Amino acid sequence: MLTVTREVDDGVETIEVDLPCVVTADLRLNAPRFAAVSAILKAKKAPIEARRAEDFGIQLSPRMRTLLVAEPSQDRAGTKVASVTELLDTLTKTEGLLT
Amino acid sequence: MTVLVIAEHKDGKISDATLRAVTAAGQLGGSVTVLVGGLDCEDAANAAAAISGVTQVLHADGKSLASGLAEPLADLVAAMTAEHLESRTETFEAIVAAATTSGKNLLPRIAGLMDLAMVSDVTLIKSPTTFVRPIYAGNDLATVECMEPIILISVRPTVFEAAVPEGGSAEVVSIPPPRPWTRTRVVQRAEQDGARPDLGTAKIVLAGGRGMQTKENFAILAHIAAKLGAAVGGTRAAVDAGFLANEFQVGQTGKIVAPDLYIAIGISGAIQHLAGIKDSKVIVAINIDENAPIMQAADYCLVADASEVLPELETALADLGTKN
Repeated sequence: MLTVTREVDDGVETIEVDLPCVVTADLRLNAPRFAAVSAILKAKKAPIEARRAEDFGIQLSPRMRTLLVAEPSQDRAGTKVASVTELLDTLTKTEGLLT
Repeated sequence: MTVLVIAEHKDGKISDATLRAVTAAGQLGGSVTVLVGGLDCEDAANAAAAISGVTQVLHADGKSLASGLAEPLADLVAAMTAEHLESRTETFEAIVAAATTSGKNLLPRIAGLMDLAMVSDVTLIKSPTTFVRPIYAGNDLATVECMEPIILISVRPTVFEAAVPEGGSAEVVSIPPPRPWTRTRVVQRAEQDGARPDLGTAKIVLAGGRGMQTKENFAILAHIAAKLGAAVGGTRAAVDAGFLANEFQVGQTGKIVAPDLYIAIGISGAIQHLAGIKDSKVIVAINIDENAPIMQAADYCLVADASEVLPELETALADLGTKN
């Protein structure tokens, strides 16, 4: 059994999970281990066994199609203000915020 | 076409994110059914029935749904849809949930159980089968067409308006809860301080980055936020530095926010952070470095040091408060 803590929308929750289980890790879980150069060289010589997806009865035909990839528009004015007073003035008078 | 929205609810109320998912579901065309699952959640089911635009509410009540875990709920949705498919009665042609931590936990399970490809984090619905979603941390937007018989999408709540939570009069149909689930058990839940507004729904968000330099500065920020009724957030750098807890991280790996006003203090504006704030109505950047990327992503920029600005901001806002 595994006990894990994970983030949820309004805080954190701790759950127990029976094994076997699949876990995804948050970036902050731990510091990654870096492989030693000797281990990397050794890994290069390790045999790689190729298997066919069909042998597992898995269909790999695409179920989705990418029609377009485009950059999002980034059109913000970036108006410079000189001081906190000017900033708050602009936010209240021009944007109608903070009122 | 019938679209199933899986609701999140708490204390008899439907979450804001779900109201936004209902709007997205409506854009797919056809009628909207909302599934409310839990233990003793009749109030939430009735609340869902009152949302305008909802035609039917499925209410599953039972101990197996008491924990709020995604696993039994995924079982229920998969079984329900399979049954519909088999009996050839009208089935759900699309299943929608908000891309919150619970939606992100739930939908892939349903997709797995039903062997369907899902489209995650949808920000625009172009047609009932064509969607836009951000890829590469929001650097690009991909338009994808889903060719599955049942469309499964999670929608980014911040880009859809919330459906009006009243005025509707959907029928509420009770359905049996799923069988008990025992493989995962909740040991403990720790909710964040309820006194502060939620980052996801706050109208104003004050956020700090590495440039805040100290935890004390975050205390000042929290103090200002309390006065404004604003939520406090931070960058990954600020969280890593121990300035604030994990759940306050804003950005691609944290919370996605879209307040009316986002004030970024001492934040350089890494792409992963910008991905989480770009739908904010007005973005203000306060940073010592006038060439920081955040300055290009902001509506208003103030070149200043966080430590100097904070006390000024505190005093100025207090003055503003007395004037109003």
